[in-house]
Amino acid sequence: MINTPPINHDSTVMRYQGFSLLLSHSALFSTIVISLILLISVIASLALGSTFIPLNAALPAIFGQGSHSTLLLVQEIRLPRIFAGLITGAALGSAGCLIQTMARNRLASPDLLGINNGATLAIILGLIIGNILGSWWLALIGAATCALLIFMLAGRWGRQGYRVLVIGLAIAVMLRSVIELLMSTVSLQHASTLYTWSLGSLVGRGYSASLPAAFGLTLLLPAALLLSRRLALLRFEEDLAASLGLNVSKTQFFIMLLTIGLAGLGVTIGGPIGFIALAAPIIASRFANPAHIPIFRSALIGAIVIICADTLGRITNSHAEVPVGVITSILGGPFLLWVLLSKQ
Amino acid sequence: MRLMVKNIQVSYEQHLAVDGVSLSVAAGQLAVIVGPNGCGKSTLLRSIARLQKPQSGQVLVDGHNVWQLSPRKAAHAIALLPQSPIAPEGISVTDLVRYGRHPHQGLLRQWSARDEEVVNAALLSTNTHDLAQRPLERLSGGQRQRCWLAMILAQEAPLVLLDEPISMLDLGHQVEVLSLVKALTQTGVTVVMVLHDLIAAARYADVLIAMKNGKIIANGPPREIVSTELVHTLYGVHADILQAPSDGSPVIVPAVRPSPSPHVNASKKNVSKQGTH
Repeated sequence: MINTPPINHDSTVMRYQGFSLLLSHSALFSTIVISLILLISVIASLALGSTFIPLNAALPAIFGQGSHSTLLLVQEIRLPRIFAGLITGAALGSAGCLIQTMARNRLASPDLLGINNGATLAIILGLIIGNILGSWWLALIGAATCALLIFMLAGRWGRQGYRVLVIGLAIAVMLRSVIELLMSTVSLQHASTLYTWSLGSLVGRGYSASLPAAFGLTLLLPAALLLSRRLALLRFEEDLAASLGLNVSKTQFFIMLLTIGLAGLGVTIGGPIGFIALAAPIIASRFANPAHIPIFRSALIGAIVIICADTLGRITNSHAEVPVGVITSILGGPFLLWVLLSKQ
Repeated sequence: MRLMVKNIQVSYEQHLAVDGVSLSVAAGQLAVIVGPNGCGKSTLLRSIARLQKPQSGQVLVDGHNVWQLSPRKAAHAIALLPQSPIAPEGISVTDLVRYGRHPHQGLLRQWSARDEEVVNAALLSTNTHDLAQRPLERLSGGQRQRCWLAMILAQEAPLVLLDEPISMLDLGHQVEVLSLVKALTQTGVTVVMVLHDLIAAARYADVLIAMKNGKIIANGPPREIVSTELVHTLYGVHADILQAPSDGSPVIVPAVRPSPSPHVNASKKNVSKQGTH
């Protein structure tokens, strides 16, 4: 009798009659560690800023205790902003994880599906035509319309997703030119508002913008987690995935819808904040067993990066805040280089 | 009959790649499809695997029309190993083999005792249990191909389709993989395999299926159908056919250079060209 190797050296199996669940220790452990880091970033973000609030004042202020000015700062300014950052980061991080896995390409990001440019264009049109700014649904509609347009032109997801990504790239360039054309025609005051929006910022984004997005996230993120077993099969070539019993085109369609939805939610609150959707899944995959798709951990890391970048933007310059989108862009370049160079 | 293909026509990018093919393979048989590049053998394999829908005709596995099965039910009946498959980055051998259990699993049936038993057996019978925790990408080509076979075994499908499973391997690993495939058929599994290597095909096949221009031009046990004429019709090459000293299976010895021979003449070439579409 040959000793068989332990197949579940990393997991606990729970079986009851016909049911069985597999719990990966490394997944559980890294999720707990990442959640703790997120908690620390949130607490740091409460305390740090133009005015430093010591923790023994900041934490009670969450529950309505403390001086008037501390309460105002914590409850009216910092908490809504942290909440907006959490939702935006989680949406962008999970959207990035879905599309990188499906495209089998670490450099694929929702921007390639025209999400950012579509959202920006919708915001500009809203301002020019209807004189309204940044209603949460406007960016979402723009992002979804653009993604649909790309899909209609591509006709199908295509082998290894190249078709959609390349067409997305072309559409993104065209939309960019329309955006710049419109930007050059609007008034200076509108242009500066739009400019700030297009940088990506969490300043003054209250619950009115983040609550609808939070609601969307509670629907889409669990749906993505339910699909993760099938998504894992899409990392094989389509023929093999199909012969393992996967309805490939249906799975691709649903993953695509979820990506558009999540990435769309990610731009509704703070505008097109770059780098999160690209970086969060890459960082998450360093903590994950290669057999797993770390969707939830990507969401958590997306939230960590955005909270930290936003806090950093508040404390680096004492005269004016640096928008979170600028901080993430500054971090983005070196990070990308690190990813590309460390591949070898 | 485990597999029955009834008069299928398959078009691929507006080109009739498989033109009225019928064949049947019994349980536990090793059928090998051979033919020149572009003869439609891979398209035939893909349409048996339910990946390419035929315009007409039927593919039956154990009497069931494969196009009427759900993807999951079809995966219980047919397993496919594509040519030079890609694996997710960094994945370990065990995790790869576990994916073979996917059609048997679900949200609330993630890892049954049966899954564990079958994966262990697949690792053992392909002699990959020593590699189980290693990342697939660090293994040699021959080791990797054995791991892929283990994954296919874990699927427990009675019909296994292999597309060029030895194309990138040296002789030692070719023999290793083909022997493994042969042993698999002895457990009752039916294997249909596309091979470029006619010599290996003639050596291992129970049934040899020779295709040209989308049609089957010969079908039967290698020692009955392999002939100088067949090799010439398929590849336009003159070859002598010998008998293997060990078991009498046909050994194909191609000519060193395409010298003028009684079999290479203009009239014959024209005959074979008339079949083209």
